Amino acid sequence: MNHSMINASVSMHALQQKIDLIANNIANANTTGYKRREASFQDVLTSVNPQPRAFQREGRLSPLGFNLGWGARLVHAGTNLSQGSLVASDNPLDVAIEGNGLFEVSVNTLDANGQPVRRTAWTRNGAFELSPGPAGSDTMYLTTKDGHFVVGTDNNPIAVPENSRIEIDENGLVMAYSNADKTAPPVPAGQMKLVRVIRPQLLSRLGDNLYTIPQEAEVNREQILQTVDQAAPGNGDPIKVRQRFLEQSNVSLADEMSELMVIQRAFQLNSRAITSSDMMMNAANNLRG
Amino acid sequence: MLRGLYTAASGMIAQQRKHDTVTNNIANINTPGFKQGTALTRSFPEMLIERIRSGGGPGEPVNSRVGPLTTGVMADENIAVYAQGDIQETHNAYDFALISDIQIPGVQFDPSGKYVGPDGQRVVQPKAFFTVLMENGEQRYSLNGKFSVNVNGELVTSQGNRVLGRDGQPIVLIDPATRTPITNFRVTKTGLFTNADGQPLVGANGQPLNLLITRIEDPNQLILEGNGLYRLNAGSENIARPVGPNDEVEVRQGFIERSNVDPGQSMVDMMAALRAYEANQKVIQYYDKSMEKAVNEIGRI
Repeated sequence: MNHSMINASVSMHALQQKIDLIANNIANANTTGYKRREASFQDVLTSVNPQPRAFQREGRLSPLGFNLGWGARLVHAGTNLSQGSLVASDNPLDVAIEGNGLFEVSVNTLDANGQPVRRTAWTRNGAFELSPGPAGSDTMYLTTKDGHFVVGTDNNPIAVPENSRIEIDENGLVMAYSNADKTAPPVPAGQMKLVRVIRPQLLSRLGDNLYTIPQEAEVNREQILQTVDQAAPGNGDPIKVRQRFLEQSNVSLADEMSELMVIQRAFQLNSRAITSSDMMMNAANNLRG
Repeated sequence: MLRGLYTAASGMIAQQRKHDTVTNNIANINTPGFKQGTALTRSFPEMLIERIRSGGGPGEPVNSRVGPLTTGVMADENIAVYAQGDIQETHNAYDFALISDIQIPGVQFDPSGKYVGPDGQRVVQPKAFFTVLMENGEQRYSLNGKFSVNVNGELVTSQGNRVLGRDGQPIVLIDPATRTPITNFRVTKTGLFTNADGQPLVGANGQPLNLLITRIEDPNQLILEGNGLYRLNAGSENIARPVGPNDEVEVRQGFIERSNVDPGQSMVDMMAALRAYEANQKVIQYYDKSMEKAVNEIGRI
């Protein structure tokens, strides 16, 4: 295979990955709480063909050695955590975050030995529901639609008494009003634990609209996701919880489509380069006979 | 052997190199900070052809000179065109673009960044680069401003190499007094980091945080290593120095510089290289036919 063909096919592979990423963004244009993924290109390591001393002739502009590139690759697949627009909903269990924050949830996974273990993850998707607790208890737990418990500031799941109406204030405090006894005072069920995103570059995506921190960065968790203490807001921008709202995805179809067009034309250009190098190899093959 | 056979073969190799360079340009048409490359060809050194004494009478020189001849062409060097690429807004606070139009007094550069004086002396326009620190402590230069932050709060390129500040240390986005990460920052046109109110941010050693923008006097001396990094050969470091306050260099936060590859020009260059390759191939085929006659038909009974 000659140099041009390797070059162009490596770059087409990178462009294909970018198209996949754009397609994923477009497919999730209506997913609650989805944040778009971004990636950029970078050129691959070059090879410098050495040239003997005699090549240093008058009029030469650059140092000795012929520099050959090998194409481009995709790097920097990060998440854009800008705010999506809020849409009103009738469901009292639909919550949206306004500001640069995430909900903390507790996910059941299997560890290396196959034993079930609880793992912390974070999400922006506030479409919660009440799931029943263990058989025989009369508490319901606030969970995501996949059944992951929403964690409170005391690091325990938020437990709500049966048959009650939920009200969530803008600091994430959950109050349960009993449906049976309308005159009873509300019971505080817990406060939702919110984290402020300090270093969005270090978040990794688990899928199912969940984010996590890689193992080696766990030590610095407070520097990446800072626990929000509503009593002492600190000097960051405010993070507010809005009940009866859902956050739309922050994908802008116009931006995605124009980026898709640019990538498609680059893909086409690279395939022309493959065709051209194929014709050159054909010419070399037909030198004789 | 027929001399022209090797000339045509060298032509094919040179056109292949040109084609490879153009293909690399096309491959990097969306790479931020990429500079278009051009393969320059040069003909082999001239030789003087002599006619060995044949059929001359007395008084004629033994060998008479016929004239000079070059016996081939080679792809000599790969020169990058350092014209400014388009600036695209990305709204990402960690993306930076360099707008560099350094002027030298008394010199009027043309759009390709070159000036030829009345006495024939050639001046190349200097160019500004970001400065990056490698693991082995060496410096590299980059135009790809898509930066990120690593676990230690240091500003890094997408490869993970740390970006240098004016004080020679990597830029660490952590407040030295409170040890908290700095998130809400602005960068001015000279590369100075400020907080949202415009107060300069200070690093661990008390110096203000400022991006180190290096001015390279002759960008043709840079060698592209790949991954967006350029290096200078040992012995050429004197052409690099930090950018001064009067240099026409601007740092823009939230923007990136797109590659300066022109797709139309690249397509035309690719077609030209392909057809020149085929023309050389035809020349080789004709030499082949001539040799076939010499081998098979001369002396046939």
